[in-house]
Amino acid sequence: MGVAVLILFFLPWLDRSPVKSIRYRGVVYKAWLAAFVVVFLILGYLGTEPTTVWGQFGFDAFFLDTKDVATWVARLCSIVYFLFFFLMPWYTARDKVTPVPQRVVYHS
Amino acid sequence: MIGVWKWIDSRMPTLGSAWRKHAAEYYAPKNFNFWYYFGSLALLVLVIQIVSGIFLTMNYKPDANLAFGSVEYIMRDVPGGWIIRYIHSTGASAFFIVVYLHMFRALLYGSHKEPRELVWIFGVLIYLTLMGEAFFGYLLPWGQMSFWGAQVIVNLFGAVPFIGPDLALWIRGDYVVSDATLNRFFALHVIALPLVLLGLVVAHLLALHDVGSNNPDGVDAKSFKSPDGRYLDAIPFHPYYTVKDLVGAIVFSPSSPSSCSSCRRWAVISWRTTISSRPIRSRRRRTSRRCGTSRRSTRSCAPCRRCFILSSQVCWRWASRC
Repeated sequence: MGVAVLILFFLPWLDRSPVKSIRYRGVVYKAWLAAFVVVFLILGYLGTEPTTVWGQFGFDAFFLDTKDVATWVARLCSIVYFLFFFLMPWYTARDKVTPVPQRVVYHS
Repeated sequence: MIGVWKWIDSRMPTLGSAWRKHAAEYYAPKNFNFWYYFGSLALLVLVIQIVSGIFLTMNYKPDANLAFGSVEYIMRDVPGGWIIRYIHSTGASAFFIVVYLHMFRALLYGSHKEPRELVWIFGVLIYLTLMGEAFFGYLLPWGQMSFWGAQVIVNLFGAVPFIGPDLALWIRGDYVVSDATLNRFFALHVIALPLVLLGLVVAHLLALHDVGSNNPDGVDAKSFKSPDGRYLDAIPFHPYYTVKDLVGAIVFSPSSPSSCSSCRRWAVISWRTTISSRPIRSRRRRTSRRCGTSRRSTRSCAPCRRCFILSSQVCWRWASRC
């Protein structure tokens, strides 16, 4: 939990994209950012609810230490949350960028 | 008035130079958009939290035997106490929403990237302090939710390897969440962390003003000048962005979750009415005809409407005078 917040400190160095704005970034960063927003909202919601909020799995599996669906969704979301940061040096450097204009552009 | 200002300026030129450096001659990119409201809104919410907090402290009693009763006293007996408390608790939630949107802006436009790393780091420190502030404040009503909230969060620190149990004991000041915990959380919530927060906000802004603001294109807005030496892509923060942020403040304050839902629509609609200086009635008809919304949905209580229109007109007059 502490790492989830502390990792924000390293964001300027994790992001290795040659451009700043999302307007000129490629589809990979946009997709990761969208996924991050989604898991952020899901984790925020699940944090306020009991783990049984989405019911339980009806089957037994060797890896299920708990049958609560919400717990597993939260675990998957946490993985995506951290992958967004840990993979950032890799996917931002590889992402295709479009040319940046010299002066600011108006989109009105 | 000018004489008074000259008298002050000759004795304390720091004041005028600070105003010029941070407002009148702070050049910000001209293409700021909607996302750039949230920094100024965060500052607004901070001020709201401090002011409402001061008034709450006047009637609150940080004592395990008196705390819960004093909150009930604020809610029932203190004139206007209930709304001050709701402003403070809703404002706390609003603070996080606004700060998250402010951080998301950085992710969108790369505001955390070189050369603004320090601005970002100060921002994350503000966010950390804010979480501490929210946690400490949550215990103060001394109800069941506060008690168990504190219990859970303190136990999280107890899960730290090796030093965990001692750390939890040190935070609580007792073996259980008790009067000692309440008193120290009160001290931290009311004086220690607000001071840290204010210092960090100043550092955040100073660091920003040293490197200049980023913009939705992520390019340097100060690299092009006209032949007479003026920036082509940057405009002075005051009056241009002070007025823009004032618009944000006026739209934001009534649209906060605490106000009624019918007023929320009017928060935007009345403002647009003033901008286009079109009579309200025709505006309403146009809206219902064009967008197919029913007349019912755009109606609100008359005093609220009048208040919005008045405030936006005052703002507009002031803006056009500058």
